[in-house]
Amino acid sequence: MSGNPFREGMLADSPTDPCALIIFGGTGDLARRKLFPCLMHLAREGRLSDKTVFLCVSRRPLDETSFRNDVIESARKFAPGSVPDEEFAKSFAARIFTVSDDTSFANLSKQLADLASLGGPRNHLFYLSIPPTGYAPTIHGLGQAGLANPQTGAWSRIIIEKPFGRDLKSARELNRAAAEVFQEEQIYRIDHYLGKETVQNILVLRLANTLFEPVWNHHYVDHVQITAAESLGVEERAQYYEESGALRDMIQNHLLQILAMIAMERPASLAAEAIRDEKRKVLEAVRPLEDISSLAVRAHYAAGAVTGKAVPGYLEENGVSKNSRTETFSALKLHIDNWRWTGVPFYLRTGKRLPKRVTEVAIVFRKVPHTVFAQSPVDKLDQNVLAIRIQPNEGISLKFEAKLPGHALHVRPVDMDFRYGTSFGGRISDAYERLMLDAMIGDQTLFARRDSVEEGWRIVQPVLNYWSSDKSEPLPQYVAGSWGPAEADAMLAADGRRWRKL
Amino acid sequence: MEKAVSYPEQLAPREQVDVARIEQELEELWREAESSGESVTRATAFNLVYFCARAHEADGQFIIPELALAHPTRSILVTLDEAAPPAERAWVTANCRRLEGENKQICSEAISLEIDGDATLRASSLIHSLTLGSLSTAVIWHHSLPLSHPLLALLADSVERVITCSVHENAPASSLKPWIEFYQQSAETCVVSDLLWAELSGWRGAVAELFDECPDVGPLREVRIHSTGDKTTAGALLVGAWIAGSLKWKMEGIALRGRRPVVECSNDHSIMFIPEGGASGEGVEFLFDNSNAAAVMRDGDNFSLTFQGRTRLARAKDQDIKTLLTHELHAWGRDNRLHSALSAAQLWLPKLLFS
Repeated sequence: MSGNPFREGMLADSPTDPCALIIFGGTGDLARRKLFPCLMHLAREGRLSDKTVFLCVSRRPLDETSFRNDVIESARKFAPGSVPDEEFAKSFAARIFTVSDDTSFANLSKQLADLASLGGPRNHLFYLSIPPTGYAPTIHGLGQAGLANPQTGAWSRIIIEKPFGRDLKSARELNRAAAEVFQEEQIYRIDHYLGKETVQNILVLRLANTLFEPVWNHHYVDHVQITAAESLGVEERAQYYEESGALRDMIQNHLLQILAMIAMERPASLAAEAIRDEKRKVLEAVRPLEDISSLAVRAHYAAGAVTGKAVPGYLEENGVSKNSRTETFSALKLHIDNWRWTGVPFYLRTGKRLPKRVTEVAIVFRKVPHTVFAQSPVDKLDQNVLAIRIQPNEGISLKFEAKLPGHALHVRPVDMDFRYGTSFGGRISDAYERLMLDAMIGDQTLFARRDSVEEGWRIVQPVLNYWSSDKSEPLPQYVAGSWGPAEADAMLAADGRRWRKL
Repeated sequence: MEKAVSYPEQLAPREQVDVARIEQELEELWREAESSGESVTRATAFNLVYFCARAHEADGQFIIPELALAHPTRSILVTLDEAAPPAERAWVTANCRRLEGENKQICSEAISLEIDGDATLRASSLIHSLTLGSLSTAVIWHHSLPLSHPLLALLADSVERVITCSVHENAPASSLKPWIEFYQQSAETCVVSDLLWAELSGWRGAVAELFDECPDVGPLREVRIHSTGDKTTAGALLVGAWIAGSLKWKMEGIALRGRRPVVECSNDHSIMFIPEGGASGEGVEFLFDNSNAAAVMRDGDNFSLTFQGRTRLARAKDQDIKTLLTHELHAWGRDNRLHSALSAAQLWLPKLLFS
């Protein structure tokens, strides 16, 4: 498409190439709650080619008509506004087809070939929305059926949902299995955090403003806090969560990807590989964790109250082993050994059953070198904080000191606040909309590359090893509805710092 | 993400206020809103000034609350009646939207001004006093007011963005002349755009989509632009100029082939305008050296895209005024494609009119 002179200046508005989106696990929760409503929004906005169709691969044979109705009803329920009227519902539903995976990959290949011969799309986008144990066999099956090799002039791509492995070894195995069938430029490892507007805005904040980049380094930044708090417990995901835990579920992927966006050097261009190269470099520069007990904290929640409602402790949750040592809270202290960030700790924390759902990056700046207010009532100045709120109340705030009106010199911290909701009206796209569209366009910028996934595992692997070998004491606990265990506070207190109150 | 429901509400009833006290009245409005106990956030991303003739006031009253859904602004609706005795009247309110799932309203200040008689000549200074100085200002100039109005030239010197509503795409090409002149005069001081160009985005998208399949434009020799009516239309002229700019074809002269004007370009390239439309209606034909042909034609609610004898349909997205303006207000940078198209159109127009 790059040679088309008429596309210049209008790429953002162009519809994607027609393709068949083949969703493995297309009857699952993610497909019904997220993927289909997002596809509907894209279709309504004219971002999908009219010829794009959706094939849902399911474990059991499905009645196509009732499945189509189910997709529409689910969209109405989980994403109000995604189905504007009956006419749209009918036309969208007609693009959904079902395939049972008790048929072979060769049959799938034949169905796709038949579709193309009838004038349907020749491009194929495979979406693995299935349990991770199914990734390698499915990728292998696609390869055996020749579906990874597109016809001349067409493309074949694959989107893989997280988790990409459960440790460094399994991640490497999965990457190797995928690389045996698909080229890296065909593989789209989805991390939905990277599709969020506010995460994308980190790049704009850094690269489109002269104000921030000069102070974006160890000369001015005291430390960085990245928090992803959830008020929910494990809900229906106990089986998955017991095998995962907070470190694997959130830090290894989402939080480290955010860290990379915050800490990476400026890329030479906005090309996907330029950005992904810089992310890989900064993750490589993360110092290997050695004294784990002082750099990592884990805990699980005890019974407490969240948003005024009593909730059980983690060990009392359905599907959770009474002897579970799975952490529902984890915090890490990381250092980046490079010119820009030397000496600046990055504190990462995530947890379930915390007081509220909030994801935020806080750049905490150094204290002023000399306080000239010594003879005044001002005995202490707060540090400036640039807070990037990823969800909810998406936006950016800058905290600085201001003089209170009056004769006496009283100083108080105030905030300059930018909120997406008040500065920009209208609907803001869901992260999955952006990411599926990018996969159809062929833009890998917001997808994790093989090396950065493995770097993520390389960073957390020592912690996983230490925790799996440490069976000496019961896991620390925190009361549901609190901000985590005392050990997490102690980790920062040892550095003379504290977590932000969110 | 916060999501807004799609209906505007107004914070206070429309009551006439003293023009000299507009700021105080707005402060009072917010004080009342805060004391009402409802959670109200005042949001302003930029100043938006909408000018129209008094007879078209309803257009502004409709569009400003709609735009406020997507663009929180301090809006100023200015209606002019130069034939009436001199007078200035003002109203203030706020257009609000509720955030889904939250008992919270996001509100944008809205000022309405009626300016009559020779007071219209001083309107610029009043507008400047009412815009928030730390924020950018966008002006929408309704087609009911002439582009040669001295007020518009004054505003173009002091605001960041001017959106004009010059002519419909089926208007004669000659009607583009005042707008091109205004653009040339003002493009150095502010970003100027026109809804006609925005309306043509469907055509531009369809042409781009056609060439996604055959991006080799090397053998392309002639482009034929069909339009309705018996004269070359404004839309046809702009589409032709955009195509020439995209292909980097430079005009060498204008000739007539039969009654049809042809822009003759370097290297034997040409762009022919076929005003009568023909049996196939509105559209663009592309003729190649190698006898290939391609075309984008309007076909009801679709565009039909034909290349090497194969035809497929692409949905034509006709956009209403609200959508066009909402989209335009997202873009604050110069559209280089428009700039290039207008540079070509400006050269072609006098010769086309003569021909």
